[in-house]
Amino acid sequence: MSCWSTASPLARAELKDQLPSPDFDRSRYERPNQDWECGWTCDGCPCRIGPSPTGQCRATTECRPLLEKKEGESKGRWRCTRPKEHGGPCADGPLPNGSCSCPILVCRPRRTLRNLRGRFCIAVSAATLAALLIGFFGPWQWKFISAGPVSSHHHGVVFSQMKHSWPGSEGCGACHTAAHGDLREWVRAAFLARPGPLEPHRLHTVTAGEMTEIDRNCLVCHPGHNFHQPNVTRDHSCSACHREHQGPGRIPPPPNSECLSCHGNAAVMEAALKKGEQMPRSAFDYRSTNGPVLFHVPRPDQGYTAVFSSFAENHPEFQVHQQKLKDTNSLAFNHALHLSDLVRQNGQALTCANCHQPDGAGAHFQTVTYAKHCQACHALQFDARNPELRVPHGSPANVRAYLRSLPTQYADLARRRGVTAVADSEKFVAEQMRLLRERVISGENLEQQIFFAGDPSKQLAVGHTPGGVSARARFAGCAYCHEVRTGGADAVPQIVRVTTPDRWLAHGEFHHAKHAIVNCNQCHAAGTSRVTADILLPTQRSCTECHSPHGGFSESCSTCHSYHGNHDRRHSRHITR
Amino acid sequence: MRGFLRRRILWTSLLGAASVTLVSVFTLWEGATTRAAYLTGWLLFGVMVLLTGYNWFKKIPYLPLGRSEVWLEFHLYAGVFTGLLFLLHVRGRWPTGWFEILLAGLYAVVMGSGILGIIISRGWPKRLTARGGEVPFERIPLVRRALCEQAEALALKSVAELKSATIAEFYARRLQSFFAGPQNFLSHLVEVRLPLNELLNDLNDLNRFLNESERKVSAQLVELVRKKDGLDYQHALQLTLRLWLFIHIPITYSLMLWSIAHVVLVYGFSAGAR
Repeated sequence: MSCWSTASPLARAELKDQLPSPDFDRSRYERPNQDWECGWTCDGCPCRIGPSPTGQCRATTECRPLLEKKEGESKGRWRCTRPKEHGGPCADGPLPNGSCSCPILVCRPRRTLRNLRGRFCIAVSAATLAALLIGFFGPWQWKFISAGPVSSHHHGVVFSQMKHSWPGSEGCGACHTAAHGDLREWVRAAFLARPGPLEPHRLHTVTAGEMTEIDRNCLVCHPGHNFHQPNVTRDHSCSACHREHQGPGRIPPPPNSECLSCHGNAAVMEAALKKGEQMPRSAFDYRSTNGPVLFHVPRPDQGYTAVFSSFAENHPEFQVHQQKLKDTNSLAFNHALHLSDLVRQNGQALTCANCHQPDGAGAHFQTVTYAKHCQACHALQFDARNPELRVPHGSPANVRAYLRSLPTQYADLARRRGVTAVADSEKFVAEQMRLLRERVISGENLEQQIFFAGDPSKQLAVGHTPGGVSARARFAGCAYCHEVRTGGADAVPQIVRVTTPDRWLAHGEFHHAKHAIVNCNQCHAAGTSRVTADILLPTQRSCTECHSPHGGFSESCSTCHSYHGNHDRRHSRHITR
Repeated sequence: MRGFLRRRILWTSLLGAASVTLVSVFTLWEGATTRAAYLTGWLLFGVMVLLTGYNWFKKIPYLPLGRSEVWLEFHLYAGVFTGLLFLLHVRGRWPTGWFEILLAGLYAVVMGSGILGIIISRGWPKRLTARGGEVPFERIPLVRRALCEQAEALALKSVAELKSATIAEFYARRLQSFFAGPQNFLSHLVEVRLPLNELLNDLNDLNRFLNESERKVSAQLVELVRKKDGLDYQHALQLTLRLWLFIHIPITYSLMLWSIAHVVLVYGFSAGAR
């Protein structure tokens, strides 16, 4: 027989295991809602009197004898009155003096379960109140009531002492005015709040972005509230976007709902548009001059007031595509040519990474420079016989000075080649100058060719290879890559300054390293771009292939945008021509 | 039974409709106001007040507040509804501050004990009926004493009439403590019969040393042991049916006090933060 009962209760009943109900006096009515019960109850022999309502044992004797007198009797006879359910009349009967001969043992009445539960409730409630009071007034009160760890920026002794002499490192009083008082102040602050605790029916009228007391405390350390577009129609609550007590580290990015409380609201955007129309255009040129060079994007007539609901659905197209903007860089560059098989370096076709090398953080790329990225192929050689001689890159005046010192440059070259005798060196210089003069006739002609020649078929020099043919690009002249103008000081030609933007998305942020899993040409059509004017940015639609609910990557506003941006009232270094 | 089923369908439908309405309204609140958490908080607090009031409604039966049965069903389904309200209120995120962790913990204990209470108060009466030997909880000590006296009388009778102390010694050694009070509480809760079977086996082994007359006494003792075991089963389950309220009700009051403090802190300190 198994000791484990595997049958269900009903199955046991079918096995005729069901016990009959025991015999007991069903007429007697128990009152479990009373507070006390006889102390002998657990022994199964409670007295029939029971304890008093205050828990005192009232037991005396098992019965109160009754005096019975028959006719003619003077004394009578005491009769036991013990009820039948308690055994009926006892065998000994009452004592001669009329008292019961069966005294009941005095008990210590005990509380009923119901009474114990009530007392336990009171005890737990009292313990809860005590715990709350200890928590509210104890030494760890701020840790106790804190809604969670605050961000690292709003924590620590330095923050606590910054604007308020707040003890400890919590710094609660910097944001919460109520923290400067005790429990009474907290209750007072609670009832002064609008809507207050007794006005829950007014909660639905609280709309997004209203400034609150906490927001005003934010402004103590973060003065000014002009850190978004100047045509914002109202100050937006700081704490609505920057939700604290979310854990240590940085404050979590604002939720989309806060951005859409304005950008998804046609009335707010309409108001912003009207306000923007009344402001001078210069008011919107607010970005900082420091930092990376931004591609200048002219502000649209409507401003940035398009109403949309999400990035994937109806976010406006990037402005460079929407307004069909062109790159105004003066440097002539053909992406398609450089990525084709015609151009090789060390036998390998060029790739994007040959020129676009990530910066330390990997978010952006280092600036492309002539020395690091162009010189290897585009050396400024002007004399095929002496390829070691190269025109300096940079200032046109330096180029002119170099060309006017060519005899010295040839003499120096002779020394580097081991020609040390003065006579041999002079002979070498004279020979080279003669050959050069035969080709360019005069120094002025040579300078003109170097500055203004732009035809690669008429290169000034070929590579230093036995066959006279080089895999390297040939130097045709400055104008091959640059826009060269006449009319500079001392008739030195002017080369229009090359200004390549560091950032093309002025209103958004992009992190290249996070997109390393995507091939460059999936976003940038560099392989087909033949002119510098092409801006090789992907379209907004192509971003949504990944950044959408369907694509599975974040489409939150804060992924790309920063509300506060890079504000500065000084003029920016926007690239303009 | 059909009435019970009908009521269950009705209450489940009401719960479903309330849940769908709440989620829809919450979505609207999220878009319309920044205080959606306040609204769900007040709604949760209000429902909790009604749930706590169930204990008091029973104590004032003279007021026309409807039948207790209806209030009990409201208590059960509204309790489940608070689960959804709680999740919306905390936005599915477990709080990180000590005060709020304790508040959420208290809610979890009340909710958990409530679910435990539903399970045992719905299921265990069937177990009690199926096992048989039903007796009011307050009468159990009396019945237990009666059984003890009967068993003791049998043991003494075996000495006096059968001139043998075997059964009496066995009673003193093995059965006296068994009949003295409630036994095997946990075994009865989990439906394990090992202790009873051990005792019956011992009695069975004892029969080898008994004559025919003593075996008749032993058989009567076996019957009493079975009755006492049934009584202990009743005691264990009925006591548990009362003891779970020792968790549910006190912690409910604790939760309510903590919630009031939460309201004060939220209004006093948040001052507009969400």
